[in-house]
Amino acid sequence: MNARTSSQITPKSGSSVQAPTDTSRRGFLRVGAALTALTVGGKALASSGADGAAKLSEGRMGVLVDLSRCVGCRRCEWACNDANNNPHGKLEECDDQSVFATLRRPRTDQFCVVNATRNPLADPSPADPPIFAKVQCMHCEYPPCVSACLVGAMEKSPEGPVTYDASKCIGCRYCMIACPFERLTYEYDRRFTPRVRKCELCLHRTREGKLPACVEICPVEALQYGRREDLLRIAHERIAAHPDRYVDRVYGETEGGGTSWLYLSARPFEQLVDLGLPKLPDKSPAERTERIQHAIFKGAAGPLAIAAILTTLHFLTRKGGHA
Amino acid sequence: MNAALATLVLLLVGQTHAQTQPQTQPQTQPHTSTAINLDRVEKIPDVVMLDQVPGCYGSVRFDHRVHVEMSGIQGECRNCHHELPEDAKSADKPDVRPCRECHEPTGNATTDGKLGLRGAYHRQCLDCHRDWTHENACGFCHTVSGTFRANPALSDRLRGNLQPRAEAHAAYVYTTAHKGIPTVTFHHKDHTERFGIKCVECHAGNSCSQCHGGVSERPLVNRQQSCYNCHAQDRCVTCHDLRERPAFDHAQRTGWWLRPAHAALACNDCHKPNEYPTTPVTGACLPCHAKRWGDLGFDHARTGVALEGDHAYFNCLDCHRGGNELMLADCTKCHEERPVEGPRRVGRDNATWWDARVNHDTTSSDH
Repeated sequence: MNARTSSQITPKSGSSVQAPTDTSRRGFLRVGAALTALTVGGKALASSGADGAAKLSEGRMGVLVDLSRCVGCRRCEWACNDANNNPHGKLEECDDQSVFATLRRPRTDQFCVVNATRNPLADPSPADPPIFAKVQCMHCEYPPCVSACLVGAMEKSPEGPVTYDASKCIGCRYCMIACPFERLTYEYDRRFTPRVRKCELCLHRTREGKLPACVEICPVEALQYGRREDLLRIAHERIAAHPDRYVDRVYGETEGGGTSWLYLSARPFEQLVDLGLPKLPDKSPAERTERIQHAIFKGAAGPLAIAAILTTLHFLTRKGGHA
Repeated sequence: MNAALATLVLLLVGQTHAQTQPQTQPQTQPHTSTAINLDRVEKIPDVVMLDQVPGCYGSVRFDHRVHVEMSGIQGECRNCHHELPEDAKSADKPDVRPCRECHEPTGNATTDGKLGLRGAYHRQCLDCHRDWTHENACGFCHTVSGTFRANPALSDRLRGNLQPRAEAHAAYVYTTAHKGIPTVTFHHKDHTERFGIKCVECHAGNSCSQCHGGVSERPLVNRQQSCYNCHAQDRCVTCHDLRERPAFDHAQRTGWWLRPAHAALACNDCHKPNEYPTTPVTGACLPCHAKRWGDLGFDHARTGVALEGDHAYFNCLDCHRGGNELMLADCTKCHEERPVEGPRRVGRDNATWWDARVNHDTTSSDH
């Protein structure tokens, strides 16, 4: 279609020099030019999605969280702080359950937090035990923060984690606005060198062959580190083996286009939205914006189309003027 | 089974440097009982030191014996040693292995789903401990930084009041989907106290805290499955009704009033164990009442028939039919079967009258 349309345009725009007064031909040319632009754009649109998927490495890692196993001990918070040189108290201080009275978000000095569906201290009813959920940067498959970053300070590493390079960052904080999970934090209190702070899935540890700190310390192994592909398979096998224990859904498999952190739960995820597991569409918000952007600029299609239209208009108006 | 448990002992001792009592090879004896028999598990380790997992915490002194004693309700050894086959109870030598033989002391869960040793321990322990205390209470078993010392008083503390009493409502009223007679009243107390059904017979699948953590408002057992263990042959109306039912009343439900002497008896004294709802009493009276009712001071006149004259010399089964002293007496062995009027009536009720004259055609000469 594209080739034929182009081949139609060239001779006819050439021949239009000799036959300027044919209004039906002029109309046809206009439509042809528009079609060309659309087709080029459409092709770019179709190919941009495939390109995006190809960027992800096969061996990218993730963490599977089994919420039905989490006991809310908050040792992951402690280990996270310890591994990232964030301030933290003694290990026993994690036993303080009063923090569950409020729903928390990651902070600049604490990259992961555990939230509970209700305060276990207020009502220790064994019939309705609270559900605990550890939340942190989800390390999306198609991270909107990476997409939004103007300077490439945010990057999706081949290992899976989304990393941040403070030396590139210009502090625009578009990444924070882009994040659908609202997990990014900014050091507003640092006057000259503020940074965006987030979990990096302990990339500094995993590159040394260690486990992420939270995974390593989890006493009940509710967290499992591994290749995302393997984790997804394990998750679905676990659901199939215990359909009574889990809802038939792996949070993070498709949410926001997929995340490196995957969650299994005994309770419907709709009830866990407040904990930090929001309902999101299956596509990453970055995918749509990138599609539009890439469609317009891929292979200079947009500028070329505009140039083609303008050129056509230019010829038409010039000929009209001479006639 | 003893040999099996000895295997468990030897493995655990060998693997964990446990502080155990001296071991001896027990005699192998076949056991068929399903309930846990503490005599059989005498040779298991009392205490196991869990000190193989590196980390911030020190080793844990695990009171193995206390936990064995508690495991009767839920799968016995299999409750924790889950690799045992389903029929491990009756197997001669089940392959009881310590946790660390399969679970790696370091590292995370593997992709085939096998947990590390730390995760395996914590899941087993926290399942119950957390439910009782409503918190993780790490310090209950651990102290930080290896400062833990074996605490001989721990087992005493564990035996104490950590575990709240198992509680249940006396009766539960269920509304079922049964058309016409939807209401089922389950008298829990009757079943446990009066009928003597052990907890494990229905609650074998429940965790400790489901009963010990306060009264549950939700059914803890598969009702049909548990009820059918005994009630499979019963009709719907045995359990289903239009409205809530009162607790079991022997006189009302069976027509047999438990007079004072019988009220003190357990169901199994007269009925076959676990079959009393469906089996009638057969031959259950004689062990107590010997040859003659009179021997135990039983006044036969209370049944409406006074044993006068020759009757005083008969054995119970001379008159009662079918070898069962509860069946009606067969008077026609001696008496003619014809209604009579007047003062010679000796029948047991107003509907039937028996002539007191002996029928010599059917009576032996010594009567």
